[in-house]
Amino acid sequence: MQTAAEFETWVSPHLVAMARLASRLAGEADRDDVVQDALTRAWQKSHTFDPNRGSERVWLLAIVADRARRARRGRRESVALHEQTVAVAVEAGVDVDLERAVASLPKRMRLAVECVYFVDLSIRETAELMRVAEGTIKSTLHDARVLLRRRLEVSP
Amino acid sequence: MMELDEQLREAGERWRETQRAPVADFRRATRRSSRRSREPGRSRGLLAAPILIGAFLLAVAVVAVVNSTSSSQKVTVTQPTAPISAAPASPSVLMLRPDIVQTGGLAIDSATVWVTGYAPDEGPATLEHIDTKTGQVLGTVKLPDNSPFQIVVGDGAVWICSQQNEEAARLIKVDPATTKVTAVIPTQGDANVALTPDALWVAVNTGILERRDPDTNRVLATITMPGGPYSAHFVTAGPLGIFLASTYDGSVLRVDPVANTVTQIADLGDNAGPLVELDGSLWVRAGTGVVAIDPATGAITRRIARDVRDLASDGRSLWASTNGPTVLRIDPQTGAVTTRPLAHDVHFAIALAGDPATGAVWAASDPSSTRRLFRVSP
Repeated sequence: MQTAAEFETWVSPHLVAMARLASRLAGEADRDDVVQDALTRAWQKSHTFDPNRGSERVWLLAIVADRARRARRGRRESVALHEQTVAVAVEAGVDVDLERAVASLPKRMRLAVECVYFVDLSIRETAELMRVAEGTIKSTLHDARVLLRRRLEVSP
Repeated sequence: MMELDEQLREAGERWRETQRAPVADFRRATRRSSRRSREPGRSRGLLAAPILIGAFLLAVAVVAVVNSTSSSQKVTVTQPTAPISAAPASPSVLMLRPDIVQTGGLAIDSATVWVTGYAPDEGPATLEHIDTKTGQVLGTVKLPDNSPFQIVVGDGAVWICSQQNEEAARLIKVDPATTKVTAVIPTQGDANVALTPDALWVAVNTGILERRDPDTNRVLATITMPGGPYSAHFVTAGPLGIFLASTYDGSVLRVDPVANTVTQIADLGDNAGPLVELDGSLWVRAGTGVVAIDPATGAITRRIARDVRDLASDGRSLWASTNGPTVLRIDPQTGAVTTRPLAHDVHFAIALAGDPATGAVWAASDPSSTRRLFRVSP
């Protein structure tokens, strides 16, 4: 990939997934900024992409996850951002207790849940993104559901 | 009861249906900086900075670069931009050096500022101590972590809350006289801190408040806060007391430093954020704006319906950063709000710090613009 036009063609099919992941991890308000930041980063680093090490979709999503993490820390309001996500979820008719419980999961469990259930990635893509085996993602999701069930049972 | 797996899938589907179409500007992404393969050895910040600085200088017809023959131990100092009021004798804009690509923490200490943030290429962060009168960098400290996000200065130490990626959260203590790291203290999770004369209060996002001896760094008491992982995270300390706020449930807590307990004094609904003590009131960012609380009773005495990010005080006025290129000055007596623009290329102030002792308030620009600090008060 040599030109900006080629870069756009290469990235465009994955923009929706990038935006979804940015929204889940950084909050709806910062979604577009995170995606824009990730695009700039991806353009700068595109020469380092190696198709033998994974798909471009996962490579792009990994950059989004990194930029979302930085944006979140930059705002010093990581907890508040969960609330943005919760607010969007409430508008969508999603169970607010469920959203809060997801937001309170340990980081890696939460990332797995967000990727699979909300961003709609496959187990394989999520495993590539998190750099673990598919079986690890399955067990992580199992553990997350156990924890979520426990937290939902005790929520008022 | 619906199986949780199915419940999550349905929740995800409903959430995805509400999502707006993505917005992306490919021209900006591919234009703003060259790819590293074309410019080996130069970081994005180094590449972007001269372009943006040039545009900025042109736009505001700037001018002075103090000590243009300065070495790398200088930051660039410019004349006041039109929108910002500034004391004539002091610079109102400090250009940050390229080793901070995104400001993470900012604190004022007399006529100096301490600033830190992410380094290029996710390397170890640098803490810088800058004389605001001259722009001189008085000292730099290489930190062990790459993600610092808060600085508190006082009692002969500079405390930095930081993380190393997702792997470790720590408090880093720096001796301001020698600019050496004197302690690295692991915490169970992200922590925010506040300082009183005899204690460092560490609010950890696992739901505990640690009281540490600021001299020995030892934990003197551990207070379990209501809410567990949803507990209060923002903390402030001043003449009115020690207070915390929770972004989850909007609760505001007061610490009893004698009994080492916390008591909820107010419920702001949701999203209670940074707190500042000013003019006998506790000012808190809430979901609906900024509120003033009577620190004794928790009663809300004033509401300012403005969407803000962070708060700071210069001892007379409350200052608030917004989600745009402005800061707000709020009169605590009348509630009157004055809007101050920052600069044309700034999207928002990513950090805000005030010092009631000197009346100084500084704001840091967001990482997408040229990285600099603005004096917004006096």
